[in-house]
Amino acid sequence: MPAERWRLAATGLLVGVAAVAAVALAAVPPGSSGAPAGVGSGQPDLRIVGRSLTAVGVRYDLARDRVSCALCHARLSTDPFELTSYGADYRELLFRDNPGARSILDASFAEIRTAVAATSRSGLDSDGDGYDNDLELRFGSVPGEARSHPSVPVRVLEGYRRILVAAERDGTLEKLRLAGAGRRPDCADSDGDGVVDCLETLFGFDPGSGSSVSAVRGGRLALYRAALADAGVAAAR
Amino acid sequence: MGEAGSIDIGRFARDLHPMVVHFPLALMLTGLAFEVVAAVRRHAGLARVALLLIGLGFAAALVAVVTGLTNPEVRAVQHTLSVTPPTEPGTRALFLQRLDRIRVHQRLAYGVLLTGALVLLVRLWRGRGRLWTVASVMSGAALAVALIATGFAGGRLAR
Repeated sequence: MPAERWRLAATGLLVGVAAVAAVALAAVPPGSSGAPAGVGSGQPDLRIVGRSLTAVGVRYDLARDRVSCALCHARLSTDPFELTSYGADYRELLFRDNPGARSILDASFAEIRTAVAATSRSGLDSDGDGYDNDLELRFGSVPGEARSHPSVPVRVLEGYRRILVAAERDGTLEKLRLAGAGRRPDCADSDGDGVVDCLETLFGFDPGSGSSVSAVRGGRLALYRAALADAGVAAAR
Repeated sequence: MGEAGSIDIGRFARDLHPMVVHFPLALMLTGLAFEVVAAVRRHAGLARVALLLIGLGFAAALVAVVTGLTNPEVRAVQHTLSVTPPTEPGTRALFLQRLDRIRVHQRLAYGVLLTGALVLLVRLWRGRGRLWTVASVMSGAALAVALIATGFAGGRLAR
């Protein structure tokens, strides 16, 4: 009988799947994988901690391989609570705006994004190097490290920022992006750090040193360069 | 890192599992709910629809388990653990915790396959006795619990 045969075939298949699942279930290592006591019962999960970094990265289009937890944590491996000046400011603003939160785990992603935006508000300069946090992150230096800032003078970068903010608002930046301005410019990358020399020079990084590189994605910097050239900035041409 | 307009295969593979997992959850839980309604109203047509939904959900669960096992994040976590020196206990602890959560989710997902197979077997061979009714209810309840627990554990990973 076809129906009976179908039922037997389905039974065979189901028993087979169940047997494989049972073997696989037994093969998953039992208990803890070796996490120290306390981990998993209140300590932050990796992905949750990463939400802050994600929020900064998305806001400024940072390259994932050029930013790390070190943006906020001075020595994550030994003491997760030892923060950089930028991390301390971010933490303070996050908890100031969310007084009910006992830890960062209690903050939603929207609240985290708001705190990241607040930490970048114009004028706040966590490391006191003269380049405010927004300026540093916009062009890719570290806002919690006084030695890390572009070699281009502050007033020049502030001028660039004004042009870029205006270009963002009036849609010029998006038009340029759609026209392909985010492509890699036709110039060399002498230090092989992934950002070409003409972009490094324009935004104040050393094209001859792999350790001096903007954390902003190369495509975004190329787009900035096109917007500056479009606005008549001679150095961007 | 993929530029705008390009397809990042690694990212697609990582995103595939979260995309697929909704199907077994929705199909099987809806199927079980339909079964309850069919039993209360003694509606044979609805019972057949319920069985079909559970069957489709089971097939989707197989796909979800396969995409979960091939998810590059699991390998990435294991790789990071293998290259993180013991002198960095804070970093190791974070990754070990993540691995623990992945394993809990994995065990529960295998549990869904086991109970799902049991649910379908019971319904395929179901007779008229009271024992079969009890087996149907028990296996259905076990599947619902396993599905919800797996979804919860998976959601904790995706937060």
